[in-house]
Amino acid sequence: MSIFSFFSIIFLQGQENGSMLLRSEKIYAVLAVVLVVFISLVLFMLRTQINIQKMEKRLEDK
Amino acid sequence: MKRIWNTLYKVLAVGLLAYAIIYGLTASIPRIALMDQSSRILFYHVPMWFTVIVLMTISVVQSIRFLRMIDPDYQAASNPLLADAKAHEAARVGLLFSVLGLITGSIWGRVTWKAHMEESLSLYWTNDPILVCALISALIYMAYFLLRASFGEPEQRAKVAAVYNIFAFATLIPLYFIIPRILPGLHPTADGSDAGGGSFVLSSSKAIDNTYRMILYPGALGFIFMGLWIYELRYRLQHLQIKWENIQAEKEYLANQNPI
Repeated sequence: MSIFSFFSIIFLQGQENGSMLLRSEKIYAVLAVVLVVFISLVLFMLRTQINIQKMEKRLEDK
Repeated sequence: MKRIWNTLYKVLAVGLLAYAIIYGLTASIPRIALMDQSSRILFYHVPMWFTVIVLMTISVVQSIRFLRMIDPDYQAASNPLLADAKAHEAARVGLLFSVLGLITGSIWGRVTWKAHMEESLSLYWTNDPILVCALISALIYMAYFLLRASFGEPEQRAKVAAVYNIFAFATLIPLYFIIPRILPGLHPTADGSDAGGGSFVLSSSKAIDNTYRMILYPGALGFIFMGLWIYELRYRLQHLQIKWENIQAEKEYLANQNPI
């Protein structure tokens, strides 16, 4: 989803609204927030999913 | 029905979050002087706290359920430790969102209240009442995990943790809803704030523009569903761990019964 946000910005670059958006210094703070939130959530989910698979395998082996 | 709901809320989580990202970054929003484009952070920062409240509520409800289940007069249909596991995992995911709320708030604060932060000799922190209250609540929940970790026996650990969890949840009410409204601060909801924008409460006289609401509310729902999804995954892991511990305990018991 973080990739989505970057594509949205790139897509906007050619548009009037987009170039205005990119000229704003503070848009980088927004991108930083989006990246922090989604990378953390996705990593946490992935780590949990990997642990679940490990545990299921361990229980199957018993 | 349960299976449909289990799929539906995950689909909604992905859909609503994709909407919040794309529309949140591209929609034309009314300009707020002090914030400029950084007011878009509202769509990702505020939902963190909505999700924290939902998850902490789930956590305290499960703790109360656990305490009811261990009552000798109560006929528990399932293992009480599973209710404790649910309370633990909901608090864990709630704390994750709480930390993310603090980080995103810190980044937003840096671009909005730069002068205030430099005044307090800090790059990413200022002594705004909401910030301090949010930090205190996160620390209270960190103490919940420390307390759990200090007990080895599962039943005793669950009992102490459940009681503490009720106390921790009770502190959220003054920390999130009362103190920030009484003390003056930098957040737009506080009296004497110069942050611009306004409150996201519909009835408030300083309410934010509807364009913000169009993105904020669906996005918040998306984050809440995402939180529930992570909570479900964490609970599944915890459930498997309990199963594993039971197998190990059974093995140990059998080994003690029939020593070679």
